[in-house]
Amino acid sequence: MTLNDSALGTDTASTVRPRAPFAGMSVLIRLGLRRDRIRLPAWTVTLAVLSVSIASSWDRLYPTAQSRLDLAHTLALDPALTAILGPVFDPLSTGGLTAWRSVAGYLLVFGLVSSFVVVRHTRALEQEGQSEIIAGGAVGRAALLGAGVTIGCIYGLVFGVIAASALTAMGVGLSGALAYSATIAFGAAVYCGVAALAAQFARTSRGANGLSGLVLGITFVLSAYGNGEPSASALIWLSPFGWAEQTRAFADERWWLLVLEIVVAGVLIALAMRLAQRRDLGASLVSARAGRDRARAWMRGPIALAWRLDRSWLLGWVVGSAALGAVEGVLLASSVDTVQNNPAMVKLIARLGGSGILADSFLVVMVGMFALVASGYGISTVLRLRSDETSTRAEQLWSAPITRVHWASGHVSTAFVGASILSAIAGLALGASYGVATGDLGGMAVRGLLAALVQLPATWVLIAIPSLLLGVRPAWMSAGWIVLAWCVLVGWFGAILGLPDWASSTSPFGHLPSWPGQQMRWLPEIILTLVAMVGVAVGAMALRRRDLPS
Amino acid sequence: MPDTVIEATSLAKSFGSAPALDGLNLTVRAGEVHGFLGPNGSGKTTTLRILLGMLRADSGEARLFGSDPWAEAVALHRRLVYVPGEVALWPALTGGETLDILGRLRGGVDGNRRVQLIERFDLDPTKKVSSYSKGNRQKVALIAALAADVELYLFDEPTDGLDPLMAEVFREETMLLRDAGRTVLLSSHVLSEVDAVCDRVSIVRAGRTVETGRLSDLRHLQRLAIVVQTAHELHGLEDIPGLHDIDYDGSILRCTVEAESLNDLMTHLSAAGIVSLESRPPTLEEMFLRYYNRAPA
Repeated sequence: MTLNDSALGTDTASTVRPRAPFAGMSVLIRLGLRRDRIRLPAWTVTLAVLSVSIASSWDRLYPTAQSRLDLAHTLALDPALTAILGPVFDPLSTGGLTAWRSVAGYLLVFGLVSSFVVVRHTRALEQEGQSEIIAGGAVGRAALLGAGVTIGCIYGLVFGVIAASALTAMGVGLSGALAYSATIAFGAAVYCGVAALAAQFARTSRGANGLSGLVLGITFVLSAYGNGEPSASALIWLSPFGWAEQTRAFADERWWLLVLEIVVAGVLIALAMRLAQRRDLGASLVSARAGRDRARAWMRGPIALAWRLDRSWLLGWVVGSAALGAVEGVLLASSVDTVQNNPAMVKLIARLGGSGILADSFLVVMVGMFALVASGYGISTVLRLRSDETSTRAEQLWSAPITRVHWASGHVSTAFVGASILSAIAGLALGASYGVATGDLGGMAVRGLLAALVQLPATWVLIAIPSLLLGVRPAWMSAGWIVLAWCVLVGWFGAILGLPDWASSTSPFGHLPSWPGQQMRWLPEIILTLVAMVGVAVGAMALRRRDLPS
Repeated sequence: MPDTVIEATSLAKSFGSAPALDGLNLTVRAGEVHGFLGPNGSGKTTTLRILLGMLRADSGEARLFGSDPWAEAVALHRRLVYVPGEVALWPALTGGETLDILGRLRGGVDGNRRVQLIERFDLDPTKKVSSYSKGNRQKVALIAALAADVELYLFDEPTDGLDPLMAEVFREETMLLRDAGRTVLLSSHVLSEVDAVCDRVSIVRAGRTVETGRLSDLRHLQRLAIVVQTAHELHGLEDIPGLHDIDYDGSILRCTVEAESLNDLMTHLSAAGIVSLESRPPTLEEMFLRYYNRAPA
């Protein structure tokens, strides 16, 4: 991490005015981009390539106008799918289908990525203390936050430029490609503003990430509910997801919604700037209260410590996915309802095996999504062991009379147990809320719970990956995220991208039985569980043999 | 209890191609406060980590209470505490909670001792660790260590973040440990600190032990650096024993002098009429520059 001396020199000499709030910001932006030199191109290029792949798949999947109209007709009858992806505005054009399929998903990804990036370059620096070195230089009070927000926005903008150029080159239409890319980039900028605010309120980077993730989740659920439930359609206007979808890229674009996104992003960022300039460096707006002077009696040993450290983080994830599950359950009920009121659909569904099948297959898709979320929680929790090792926290525990495996079992156990609880509660909430709407609370709640449990072995395999690497090659532990991203890609986009069958078999989720709906198969469940156990065991054995990373 | 608590012989360790230790020897006897002195990056922390079974030496042998620190880590750790140089704690916990958890990991906390140390180090245990300064985090780790009733205390540059008052409290507590017959290994790059509390020292440079023994035996470490200006020219400086590094331009004399020769030098100087005089103990850096750069052990 070397800062170019000459770059610093010219900046301080020529452009920095004393007391200017943004003094030094350009140096900080360059420093930040240097730190992100791998993740910035990785995220933006990969996702831009993915959107081009989606765009090029439609001619193969739905070659005729009639097939596209049929698709649109079916979609219109499915409030649950419409809830997540938004309505389809122009099924006939390739661009229109691409926008429908990917705008919400991309905003979800970029909202999350860019808000984490903003926190990484602001609150995280204050928490770790680098901000003091920065603020000690000729650097304005707003420069750190300004640089963090700029870097966060650059992610969306770089994606936007690449995607817009590539899509235009494909010939889907310039104005549509522009609206599509811009609405994602500017929507992501709104979440950069949210993260900038969260970084002022929270004291830790984990807290700031949690707060911005919470806002992202709430706004997503708002637009999903508004999209799926016609009586609540006004809700979509409270959410950047609604704005991005309603920009109607490739379908008579509403450009003014881009202006709305920019204005909201600007207001949030300006507010955060004001707060940042008023508070002390390293302080937060939520003041630290005095806490306990003694630890509770049950707080002994690394496992208790891990639960104490992880519980509020886990609780946040549980509440979030239970809420999403409950909303999806309601939408599922109204989706099944719509189908049953449509004689043509009933006939079609009956041929496929009845409306119960529709509910079941939807249930499998939803619990599959929650299982991915739970895996993300598990991976992030195992990764805490890595940050223990790169600070001296691990040293203090290793020098106590406990084994290394005992030390690691703290966060590894919260990861596995926590992710299982998370999955189970989301499935339970989904089934229960569907059950309330259909008058079979008990039966459906159990069904939702069981459906979620079927997914667990695949989640365990994903959590076992960083647990294995902890022993074998700790510097590579974040590879767990890459594997998760791959599973999302093949699971959610495999069919539309025309990926071959072997691709889906590289994901542990690809081996799970589609229960309920299809027959339960125990063999893959057992094998995946064994794979996860072997991974953890090998990691534990290697952990006992290796050095503390230096 | 064996006579020798720590016995390290020709330890070598490299990280990639960079050697961190290159033939390090260290012997710490039971009941002594042993100073482990060396400039930054000389291998002190790596040695401590090997002694704690966190790293495995590439070659050489390390023994702690006569056992292998790697194989017997858990049993050995029951008998020692360690405070790392850079203390990182869990930001979400309070200082008090941290003290209890670190204490319970080794079997329990003596309530009276805890209260007493919190008072001595002037720590507010109800504050979250995230709001502590570096010095306060250091205090938490030191209190947790000092409250432990063990045979061996390992401190890696313990007074680094402490103010002089608190560093003094730490020194007093270290003396009390010695009086109680405990063994202490104190790594430091501050000569005066080691001088104040240690019975014996080992001096390391570039991963090797260059000197070890009682401080009083390492006479050349006790020299004073002198800068003096006299009214008349000085003669016969060569005849004073124990005078070193002489740099004289006819008016200003710079030199180092052993304690025994101080009186001789002063007599000599006052005869020539002292105009101004500065003296100070040599810094560790000067010591290394003078004695060890050209003379590897």
